[in-house]
Amino acid sequence: MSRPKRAQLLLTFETTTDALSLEQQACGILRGRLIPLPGDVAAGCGLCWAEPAENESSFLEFLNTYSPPYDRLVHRFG
Amino acid sequence: MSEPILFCRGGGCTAKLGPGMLSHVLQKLPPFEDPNLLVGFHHSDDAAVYRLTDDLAMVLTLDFFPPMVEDPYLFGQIAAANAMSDVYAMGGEVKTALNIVCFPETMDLNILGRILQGGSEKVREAGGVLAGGHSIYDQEVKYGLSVTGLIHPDRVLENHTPKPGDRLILTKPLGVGLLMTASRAGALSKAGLRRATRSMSTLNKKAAEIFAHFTVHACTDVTGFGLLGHLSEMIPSELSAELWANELPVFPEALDCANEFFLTAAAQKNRNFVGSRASFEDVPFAVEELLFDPQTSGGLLGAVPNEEAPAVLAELSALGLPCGIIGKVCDTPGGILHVVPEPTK
Amino acid sequence: MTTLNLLGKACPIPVLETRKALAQMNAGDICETLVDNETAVQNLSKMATQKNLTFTSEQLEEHRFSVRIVADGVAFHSTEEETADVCIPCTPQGKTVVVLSSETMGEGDPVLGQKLMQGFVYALTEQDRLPDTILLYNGGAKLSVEGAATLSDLKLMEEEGVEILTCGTCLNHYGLTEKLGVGSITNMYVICQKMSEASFIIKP
Repeated sequence: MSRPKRAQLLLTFETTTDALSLEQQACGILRGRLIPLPGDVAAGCGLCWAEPAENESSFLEFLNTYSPPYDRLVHRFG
Repeated sequence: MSEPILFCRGGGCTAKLGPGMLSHVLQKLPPFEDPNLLVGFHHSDDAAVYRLTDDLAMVLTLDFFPPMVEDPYLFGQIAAANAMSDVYAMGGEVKTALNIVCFPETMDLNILGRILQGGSEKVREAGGVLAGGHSIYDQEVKYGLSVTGLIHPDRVLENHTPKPGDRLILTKPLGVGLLMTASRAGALSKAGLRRATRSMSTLNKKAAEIFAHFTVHACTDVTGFGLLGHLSEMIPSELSAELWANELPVFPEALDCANEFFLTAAAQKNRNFVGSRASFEDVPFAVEELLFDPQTSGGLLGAVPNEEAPAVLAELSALGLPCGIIGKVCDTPGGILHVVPEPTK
Repeated sequence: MTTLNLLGKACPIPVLETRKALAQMNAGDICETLVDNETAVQNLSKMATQKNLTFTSEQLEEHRFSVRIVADGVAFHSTEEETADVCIPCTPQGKTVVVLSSETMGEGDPVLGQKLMQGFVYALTEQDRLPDTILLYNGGAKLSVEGAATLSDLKLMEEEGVEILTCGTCLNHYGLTEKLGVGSITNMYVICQKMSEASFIIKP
C-alpha cells in the first residue's frame, strides 16, 4: 500500500528556479516541501510546493508577506 | 451533459442567511438601551422579549421562507409551525399572528388561498388569533408569520444558560433538510416524505408545555443553523457539550441521503460557522452531515437537570415523534461540542 | 477530461451531476466541475474525500471555481461493492528492488540532480505498489541518514513494510555510520543477493 491520501495546498511555478528559491525562502517558516508535480495538476514546471492543508492560514499569510513568483495555487486531496 | 434536474431553489430553512454573515452585519448596529428589552438580537436568541409590566412580557418573532413542499396547504402549515416555534423556544404562549406573503402576480390565487388556510389552521391549533398581515408581489412564493406571544418576565427560557451536568433533550428527529433535498431530486420514498412533512408541521407547543412542568435551564429550537449551529449558541465558552451520536433521534432515510451526497449549501455554511468548535470522534460522515443539516421547523433543544431528564423524555415520547436525550453539558471550558458515539465516563 | 459547467447551479446539483458523470468514467479519467461558489467546492471536496478520490480545486476568478476529480472506475459505479473486492490482483509477481547509488539523479546540474532524487523518493511513496527492498550505496548512502531530505519518505516506506538497506562500507567512508536514520546496515553479499533474486531492479 502507498501512503494514505491527505489534503494539501499546492503552489505551482513557471520555472524550477522559482521553485528552488521559494524552498530557500520558506526554510524554517513553512511546514511543506517541494514535490514532483502530480500528473492530475496540469502545466507549469515539474516541481511544486506542497503545504499541509491544516497550515492554510499561515501559508496564505506567507504568500502575502513575501509575494514569491508562482503560477497557481491549488487545493489537492491525493 | 444531460439536462439538470429542475429544483426549486432551496426552500424552508435551507434558504436562511448563514449565521456567520448575519452576526457580522448585526454586530455593526448600535444596541438599543431599554431596560425592558429583556432579550434582543445581541444574544442571538430565538425571539425578542419585551417587558410590559413586572409580571407580563411580550415575545416577538417572525419567520418566512420559500416553499420546501409542493402542496400549498402543507407549506402553509409548516411555515406557520416554524414561525411560532420561536415563541415556544422562549417558553411563551402564542397570542396573535400576522401573515407575511410574497406571491407572483401571474400565479393562481387559489394556491395562495391554500397556503393561508394551512397557516391559519396552525395558528388556531396554537390557540392564537390571526389578526391580519401584509402581502406583496414577488417572483417567487414566500410565506410566514409575525408572531406575538406572552410570557412571565421571570420565566423566560434563554438559549445560552445551561448548567454543567444538564442533559440535552431534543424533541424531534433530525435530517429533515437531507430528506427534503433528496425529495426534490426525486430520490425519497413517499413514506420518507410523509414522515418529514408530519414532523415539520407539528407544533412545538406540546413539547414546550412538557418543558414548562420541569426545570429547563436553557432552550432553543433547532432550525436553519442545524443542531450543532444552535447548540454552539447554547454552550458558552466556560462550558462544553458532549453529544452522543447513537442517541440522536433521526429519520429512517436521513443517513442514507447524506451518504448519497444530497448535500445542501446551508449545511456546509453551518459547518464552516461552527468550525473548530465541533470535534468528532469515531463518528461517520453521514452523522456529521446530520448534525449540520438545516432543520425546517425542527424540535426544541432543552438543557434539563440530569435527574429530571428521564421523566421529561418519557412524557415527550408519548407525543409520538422520535426524541431523545442526546448529550450532556460539561464543565470543561472551551465551548467545544464534542461528538462521540456513546456517553463517556 | 469531461467538463461540467454548473455555474449558477445551487447545491446539491453540482454534487449530484458530478456523481452521475463519475459513475460513467474509467479509472484515471478526470471530471472537471465548474461552480460559482465556494460552498459548492466544499461539498464536492467532501464527496471526493468520502470516496477517497484524488481531486484538486482551484479558484479561477471571482465566482468561478474548478474542481477536478480523478475517477477510480469504482466509486458510484453500480457494481461498486463487487468490483471493489475483485480488482486487487494483477500486480507483478516477484520482488522489486530500487537501487539508489547516488545522491543525485541524472547528470548535469548537481543542485537540480539532488532535487530530482528527492522528488523520485517522494514519488516512490505515492506508487500503488511499493518496492520490496531499497538498496542505498555510494553517494546513495547519504539519502538514509539524519538530516537528509529523503529520510522522512524512506521512514514512511519502512513503516509500510519496505526493507531499507544501506551499504556499511559507504556509510563508513563518508563518516556517516552513526547517522543512519532508517533501515539497517548491509554488506556487498546481501546487496548482490538482493539484486540477483529481484525480478525488477529500478535504478533512477
